[in-house]
Amino acid sequence: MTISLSLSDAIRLSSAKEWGNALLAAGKTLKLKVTSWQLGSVVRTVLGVVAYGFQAQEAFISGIAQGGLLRYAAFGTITFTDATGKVVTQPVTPEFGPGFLDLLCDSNYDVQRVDEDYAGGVEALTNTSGSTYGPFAPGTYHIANVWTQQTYSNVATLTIPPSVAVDTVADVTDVGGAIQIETSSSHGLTDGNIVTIQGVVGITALVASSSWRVLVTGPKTFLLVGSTYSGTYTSGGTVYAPTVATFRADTIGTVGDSLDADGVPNVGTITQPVTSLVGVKVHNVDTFLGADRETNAALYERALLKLKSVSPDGPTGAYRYYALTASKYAALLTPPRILSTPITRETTANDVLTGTVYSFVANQAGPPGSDDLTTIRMVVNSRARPNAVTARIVAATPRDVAVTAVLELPTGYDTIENRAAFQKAVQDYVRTFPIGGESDPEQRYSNILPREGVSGAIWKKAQELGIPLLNVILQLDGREADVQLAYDPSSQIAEVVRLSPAAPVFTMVAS
Amino acid sequence: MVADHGRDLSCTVESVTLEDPDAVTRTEIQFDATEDFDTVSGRVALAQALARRLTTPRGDLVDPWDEEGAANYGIDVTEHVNDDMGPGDLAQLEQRADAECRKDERVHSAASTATLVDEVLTLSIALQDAEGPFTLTLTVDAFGAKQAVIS
Repeated sequence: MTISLSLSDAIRLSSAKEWGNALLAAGKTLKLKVTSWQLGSVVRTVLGVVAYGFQAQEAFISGIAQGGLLRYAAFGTITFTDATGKVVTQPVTPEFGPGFLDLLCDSNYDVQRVDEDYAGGVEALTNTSGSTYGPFAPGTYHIANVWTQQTYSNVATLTIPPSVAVDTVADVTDVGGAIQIETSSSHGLTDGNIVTIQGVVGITALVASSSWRVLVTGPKTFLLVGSTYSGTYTSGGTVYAPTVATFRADTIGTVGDSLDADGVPNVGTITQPVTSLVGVKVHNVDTFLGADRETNAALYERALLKLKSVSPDGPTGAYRYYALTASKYAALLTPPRILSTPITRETTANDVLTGTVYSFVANQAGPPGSDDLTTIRMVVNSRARPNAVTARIVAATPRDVAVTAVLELPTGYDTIENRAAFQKAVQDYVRTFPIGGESDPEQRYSNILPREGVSGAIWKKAQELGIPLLNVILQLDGREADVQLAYDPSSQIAEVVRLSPAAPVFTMVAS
Repeated sequence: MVADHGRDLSCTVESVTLEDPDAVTRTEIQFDATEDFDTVSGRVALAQALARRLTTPRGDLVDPWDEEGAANYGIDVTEHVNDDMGPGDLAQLEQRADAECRKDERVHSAASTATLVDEVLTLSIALQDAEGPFTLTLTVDAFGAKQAVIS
């Protein structure tokens, strides 16, 4: 048998009245020469003010005490009555910090909150005019995502000279499903160079001006990395060497991700110049991914995992801890590496037959890129993996799920703002939904995206905002049922849910 | 009979006994805490308590023993200085002042007369306590300075 104490068992906060009574008792002991005790009398009021002050101090001390206990630092609250009689409840650590939780995690666990970060990456700017534009000071040349309208600006001073025409296109062919460009003469490109293709007729992906990294296949041929061949080449085309510059979202966090029409982070989405220049076209050749600041719950979990990570046996928590903290430890590798987007989700599976440990990882947007995956593998192998054990770090498999719903509300509540709030509630729910889904300990279901969980996020948001939601008819992938996720560690498959489209489709019905 | 109005810390810098033209003793009080924590009792204590009631904005008092009472404590007559008050406004102020004074259990009755002359508000309150009748005159000038005289 064990005894589990809650903080209220150990500490009881006194009310202002109790403090006042204690002060009054002290006054009597000290023979306070006051007998007038009407409301508003001087001594009564002075003692009352001091009592409220003591109560506020005690509440603050309670916060300090809770701040030294991990669970309370993360989730605890302080409740007191202020001098106006209003009951005030404050978190020990505000969500996303900073606060006592950050201090505790840093000092006791050497675990620091993962900060928010801007989405950013490489943008190609193709200038077919005869003019040189700029220089533009950092942050003054603006472009936008055509789908989300999020804006981005240059990180360094930017000058856009006329782009050199490398060559003309002689042919476009299908090589293993990717687009191969054949130029009229030797192109002189090397692997990783960025080019812009304009004026090609007949190939779907090249109808509009587009920019690509290249993989050289011959003196006059190269592949467009990440392209998909579709259509039949008819004629035309020029290969340009664009100006390449790093851009960053103007708003911090995942809100700046380079989402496409389906809500999936992608290249070729930030193609709208906001700073309009004649003859200049823009195109992101990187997927831009930002990061939101780590929640209290996530930081709390990593602090606990840190304890597991110090075991020489390399238990599950070690893999999980180092995968989730790879952004910190990447810098300590030799040579140092940078994780472009923090890992926010991890699921560990152990093949008891072979002893292989599988650690499935995802960031807020979904599976990490290959460079990030390599970095995480290096961190985990150098930090968590005991000798003679194979640990495989595998990107989670994206599972696109369409969320649609009919929301019934009283007339006047069927507003665009309320719909946006409900959409964000579902997006936030999915953003932190675990890899491989949820499973019932009693094995009635396993590895699902529960329909109740999604609708629960909507109901919870309605409660938070005081919206009298009447009914929710929710469909996942067109069905009123849970979504089954594939989870087979031995086949290295573990699905992570991704909304497609990124914004759930909600029909608001007033009744 | 001398009524027991209790003893409280004084709000005055000092209690000054003045001779008025009619040779009736009167006491002037000013609303600042004393540096040596003097105490007062009797009508002076009551007068100070009423003067505080009439110069405290509603809702400003804090009191952990009676939070509801504290929320309904006080009116601030200084708010009316500089106002272009008519007879109706003055009558309403008199009623509110009377009601506020009667909230003090030591006051048996209160009847005020308010006048506003040259941006100086004078509130003359005829009071009755256990000791008998007396008058509290509260004066608020254009600069917000407060003075109370009991006679």
